[in-house]
Amino acid sequence: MKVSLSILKELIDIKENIKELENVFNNLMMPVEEIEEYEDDVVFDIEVTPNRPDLLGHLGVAYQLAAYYGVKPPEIKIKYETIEDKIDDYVDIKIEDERCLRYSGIVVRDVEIKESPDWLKRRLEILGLRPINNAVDISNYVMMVTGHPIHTFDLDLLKDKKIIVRKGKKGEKILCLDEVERELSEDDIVIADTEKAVAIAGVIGGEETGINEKTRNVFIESAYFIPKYVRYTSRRLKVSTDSSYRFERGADIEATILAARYAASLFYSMGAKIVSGIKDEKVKNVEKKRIKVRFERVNSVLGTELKESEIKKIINNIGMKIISENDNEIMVEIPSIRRDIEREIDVIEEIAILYGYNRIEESLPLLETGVFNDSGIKKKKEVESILTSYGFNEVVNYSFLSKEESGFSVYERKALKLKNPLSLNFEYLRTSLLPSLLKNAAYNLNREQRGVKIYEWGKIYFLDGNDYKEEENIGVLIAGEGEVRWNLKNKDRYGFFELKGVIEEIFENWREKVSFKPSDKRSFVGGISFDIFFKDRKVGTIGEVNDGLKKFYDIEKRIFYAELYPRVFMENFEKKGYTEISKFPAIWFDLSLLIPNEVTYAEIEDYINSLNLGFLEDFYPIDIYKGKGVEEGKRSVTMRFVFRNPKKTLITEDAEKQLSKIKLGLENKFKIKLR
Amino acid sequence: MLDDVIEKLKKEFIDKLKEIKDEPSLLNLKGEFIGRKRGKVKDLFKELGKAEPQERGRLGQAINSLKTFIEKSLSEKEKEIKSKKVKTDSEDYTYPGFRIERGRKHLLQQVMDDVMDIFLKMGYHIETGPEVETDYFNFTALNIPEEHPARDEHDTFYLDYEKGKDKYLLRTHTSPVQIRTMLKKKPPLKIIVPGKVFRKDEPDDTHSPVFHQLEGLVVGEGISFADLKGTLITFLKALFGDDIQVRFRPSFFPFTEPSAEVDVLLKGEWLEILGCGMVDPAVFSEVGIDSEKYTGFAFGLGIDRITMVKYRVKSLRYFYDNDLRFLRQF
Repeated sequence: MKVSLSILKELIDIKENIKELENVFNNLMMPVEEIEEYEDDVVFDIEVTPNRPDLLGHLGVAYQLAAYYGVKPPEIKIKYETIEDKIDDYVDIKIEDERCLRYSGIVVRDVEIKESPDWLKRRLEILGLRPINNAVDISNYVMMVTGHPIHTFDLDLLKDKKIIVRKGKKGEKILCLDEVERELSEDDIVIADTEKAVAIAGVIGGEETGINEKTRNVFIESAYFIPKYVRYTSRRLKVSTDSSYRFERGADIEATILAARYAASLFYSMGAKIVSGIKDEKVKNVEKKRIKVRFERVNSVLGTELKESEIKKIINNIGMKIISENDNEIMVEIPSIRRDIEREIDVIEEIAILYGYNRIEESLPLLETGVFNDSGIKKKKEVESILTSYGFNEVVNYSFLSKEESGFSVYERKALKLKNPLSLNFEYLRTSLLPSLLKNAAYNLNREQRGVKIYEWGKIYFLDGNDYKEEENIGVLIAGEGEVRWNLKNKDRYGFFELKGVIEEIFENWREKVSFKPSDKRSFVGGISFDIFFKDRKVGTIGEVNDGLKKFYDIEKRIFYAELYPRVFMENFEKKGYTEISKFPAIWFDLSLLIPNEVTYAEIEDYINSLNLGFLEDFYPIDIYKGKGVEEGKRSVTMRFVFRNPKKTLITEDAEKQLSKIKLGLENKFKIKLR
Repeated sequence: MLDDVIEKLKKEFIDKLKEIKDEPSLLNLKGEFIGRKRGKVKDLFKELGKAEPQERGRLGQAINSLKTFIEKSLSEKEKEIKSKKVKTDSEDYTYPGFRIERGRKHLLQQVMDDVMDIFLKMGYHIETGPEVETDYFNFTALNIPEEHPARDEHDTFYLDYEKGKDKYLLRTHTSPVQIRTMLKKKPPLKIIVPGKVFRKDEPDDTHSPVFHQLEGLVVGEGISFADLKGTLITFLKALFGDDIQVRFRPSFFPFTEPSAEVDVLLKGEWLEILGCGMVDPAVFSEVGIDSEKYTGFAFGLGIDRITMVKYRVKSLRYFYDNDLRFLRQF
């Protein structure tokens, strides 16, 4: 809303100090977005919140400034004389639709439609409105000054000189002032003559009865409609005007006459004649609101120690009338322009604003709420620190995907669709973090990055039968190779085992182990694919991204991806107590095993574990070799076996006995020989 | 004559010095010529007594200057040996150190953590809620009924999903969690709610359809606007430093009254940083809390906005492009 300093100065007695005014506007809930300085005026472009329609006119703004400065309330100067003709002989008004609470009007005769005088054109230009002709300009100017929208009809074009406020009829059509024909419904409030609709109430006028070059006699409409119905029609017809904007937020029902009279006085000043009498139809009398305000409540909500006299002074300055009072409270009457003030708290806010938010001395709440203790937060931080210390960078993505991408998932789940997406690229909610991370990988691999290690801890959304669900998952992606450095060489390629290692490490945080079971059905998987299990519970998926997906995202490098379901450790895991560190030495043996290619390491591992060897503390591969010296169809795996007796020093023979059980067993079960 | 001896000794020293390659032999050479107890220069001084008395002064000076020359040469040689040692030894210690590639948390999450830590230290508890919300929790319960113009300011994504009468949407703010918490727990309450929120805005430098908020809610007996001010000023000082200037401007949110926007002064410019206010009695009545007995305040801050301000990031897009060259800077 553009506020002209010249107009304000005509309404109230204020000084022209731009810097100070800006500050005052800011402190009165009218944040200044821009100040335009002209030779003849200064315009403050202020932001008006939806609860303050009173600030959509200079009058309302002036009320606030007058209250702040403690000067006389604003006054609009109206001056005209009437002719002897009576308005009843010119127009008849009937309200049939009670959603129009008040309908007022004045008739102006012998108008000459022409350009407005220079002062008016200049004012409108400064306020950002285009001057059209004197009748239209008067409407606009009255609205900008009083905040109340008015409409002008060519009286001679109103059939039977009759105005009926009624519901729209089904199928009824009206050609509007913007030359668009609109179809009305029974939900709309319509201004009509005896034959047809002539305006959509509060929204836009009809072209046929509008002001034109030949207009001689004008009917000024100044009405009040219940805001939500204007809003409904404005939204349904997708037409928003300066008028509908004000009516739907709530105009001042008491201002109809003022606005009509101000318009009449402007017509008068341009040589028109004003017919005597004012039409003023009301559905019912609207009482002014009265609100009880308790002094103690004001201070307890604000945390202040305002004296009764201070509170009363502020109330008076805002233009609220104190009707009655006692030691503890006052009853105040609210001016009709302040539609937003309906409750005690609204008055308290008004007091706080006029007193000044920045003058209220601060304190801290004294509340005993105990210590917050949530293991989930701590666990999340631990897992994040494992991921980052393994070199993975966190990414944060939108939750939206295109239809095609929504199918790239580690699940076979139904994705939710948005009714009103930003674009087709953002139509579905992700059921998996995979597409988001692939997009990030592609982005980075195309921008000078040799390798990408990223993770996202974010929500996925899906339909489980008919039920909507959202869950948190962790997506982890690795691709390409590490940077070449003098110590690292080129061999530091990011592959499946780097990814598998960090997954294992996450569970190792609680000294738990996961198993990896081959899976064949997941769409993102190329050759390698496993489901991750903790005991019998599936806790994630890991594998290589297939060529189809890589092509979609235009990626050439191999990509490995895992998606984990953190619920298992967020809910169930606790750190275990410690295990005694043995004082006795271990003995270890390295064996080079020639393993047939059809036997997996996991099978060997399971088998050795199943032997339940008492002294076998640990075993793991230390070297894997294929090629010269190893026969076709086999590979050589050197494994280290660590034996220890936790109770006393282990005798070599005892360890060797257990080692030979392993050798024998592997040979019998898998035909594994030593190299 | 002694002059010749001095000259000869100097030549001998220069020849021997040339052969020196390491510190031990340098020390030996030093002992040989200018050792404290024995040393060839010291011996020369002994010879001085045999010279003509009128010659002694001059010769003494000559020996002294020889001694100075030897000392200077030795110390230069020592420096030379030490610097050479680094270059010719088996290791050059001037290469860059071994670096392990470390990952980082996303800058937004780092700031979210910082902000949460401050409130956790002030005794707040963390609550969370769903990102897909119902119209009721996101709007109606927060005193934003269907026809309220305030809805225009929340460009909302609606879901093509129905269950019961309520419309489903992506939450436009974290405030629905206020309602969920107050329905579930009794005052006193002192909570923060971190989370993602959604608005139907085309992405550009200052808009994003996804961004992050942190909501705060305090409910109890005697909670006042002064408490709200004190809390937020304490928080902003912890985040931006004790010298930060803060101002409160009246504003409007349907679920708080009185409401305020809070600005901080950074580099001579007032920047809007959060919105807040006293919980509106209409919200209390929706969740069955007696607004005569209890009062409360709520605040909401945009993590993306604070991050931009604090780290002078020019565009919101950087946060969601996930360019590793950006992420690794923090």
